[in-house]
Amino acid sequence: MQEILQRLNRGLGVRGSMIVTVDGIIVSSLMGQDLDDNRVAAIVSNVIQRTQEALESIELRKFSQYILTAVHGKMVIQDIGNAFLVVITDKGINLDHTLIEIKGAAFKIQSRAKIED
Amino acid sequence: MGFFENLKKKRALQKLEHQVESNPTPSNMATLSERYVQMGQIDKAFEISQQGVEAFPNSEKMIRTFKYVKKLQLQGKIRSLTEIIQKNPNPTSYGQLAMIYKDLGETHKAVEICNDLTSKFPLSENSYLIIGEIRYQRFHEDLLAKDGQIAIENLEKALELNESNYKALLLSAEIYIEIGSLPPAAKNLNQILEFAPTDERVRRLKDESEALIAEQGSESADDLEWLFIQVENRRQFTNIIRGMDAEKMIIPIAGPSKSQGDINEEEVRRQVNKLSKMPGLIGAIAMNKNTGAIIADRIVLRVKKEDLDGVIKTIYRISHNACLRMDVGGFMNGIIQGPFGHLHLLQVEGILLAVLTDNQTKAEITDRSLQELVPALANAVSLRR
Repeated sequence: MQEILQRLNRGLGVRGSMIVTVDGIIVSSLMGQDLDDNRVAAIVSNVIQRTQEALESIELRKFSQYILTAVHGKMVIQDIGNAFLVVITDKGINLDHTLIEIKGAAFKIQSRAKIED
Repeated sequence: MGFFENLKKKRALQKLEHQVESNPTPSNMATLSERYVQMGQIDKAFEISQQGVEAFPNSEKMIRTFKYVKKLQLQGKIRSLTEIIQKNPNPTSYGQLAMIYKDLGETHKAVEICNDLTSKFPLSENSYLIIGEIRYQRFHEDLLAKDGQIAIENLEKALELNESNYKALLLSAEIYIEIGSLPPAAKNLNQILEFAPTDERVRRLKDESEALIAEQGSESADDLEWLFIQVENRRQFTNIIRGMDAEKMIIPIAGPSKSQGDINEEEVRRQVNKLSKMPGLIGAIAMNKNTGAIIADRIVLRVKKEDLDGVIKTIYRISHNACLRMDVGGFMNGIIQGPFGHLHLLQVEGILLAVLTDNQTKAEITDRSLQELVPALANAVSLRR
């Protein structure tokens, strides 16, 4: 898993990535020096849970991807089955390329998880 | 490359130029700028993207294109400074490189370079000054207490290392004025006048600060945290600085203000109505971000306005809080994808726009339509700040 995250983090403007479960348990993490793993996991888990609940309340079911843009950064939360892949980036980057990398990484993680099962 | 190939490219470029002339939308201007880049005409690309960003300061696509082109222009400088730092590290080159990244909006990269600078040259005030400037800018953009506090901490550290640093003295004085802590502002301005007695801008600010202290007294410096939090809660500075140089004035703002501007609701309704032609639309709602009141809605299919309103408010609140806790400024926009389709959330000044589309519609198509709407929505809000 670390290998996959390492590859993702090589992308332009990527500040860190992690795999986290809905309830905030870190499966694997490779965050930049200015990001605290546990803090990011707690914040992201809260976003995932509350967003899922809100969507389910109007029968939209769960989400597969959430791209969140703030004034000074972006966050992509990608569903990978039993957990979520989270990627934090700088704000200025063009996400198109990074999103392709994220989809590829998500696919690889899911494939490995199936093999390990 | 063959003659006909060249001719074809030239014609395509001319067509794009005509499009921008007759219909200067963010999308058209960004496409033209990108085409110039492809053809190696970086200066022209910079010119058109700069015009675009001036005309559409709220268009994310335009801002992104402008930064990309600017970075291309500065690539050579970044390379040479990086080489100097590797071979012969010195505080000036570090500072220059950090400033370039700061100006490009890559603030995390700038901060990383500053941290590196501090570890290698702990007696250089440059890194503290640059981080202070970054947070100063962010404080002015988002009015978040944390940004203001970190700005002051870093500017004060820069002053510990060099008590005559003009920029650190001036920026910290401005923040002190804006949060209503006038004595330290006056102290810093007096300090500048000791080595720059003819600086009329500083003199004027100092006179204004002292006049206000005499008139209303002031909070002590011990209350800084509380003063910052007040600004954040009010979404407004305690005092604002207006005017140029010797004309500078400090205007005290009395009483809290919840809204940052007046919204022309008729105009917002007109813009939201335009969305009815958008392919795959299930529903769209525009609301006042500060009060949560719905300004306009366009519900086409299977979802109740009240239900969608509740979902949007929950997701916005949780996302905005997450952004603040991650220290990346306030929420700007979000795209949620699922088996249902896409839910787009977009914040423009004081308006929150949410658009739900079906799963047959690509997110990029909706996003493009929404980006075209941004300038009109921004114009519908007249800012008071």
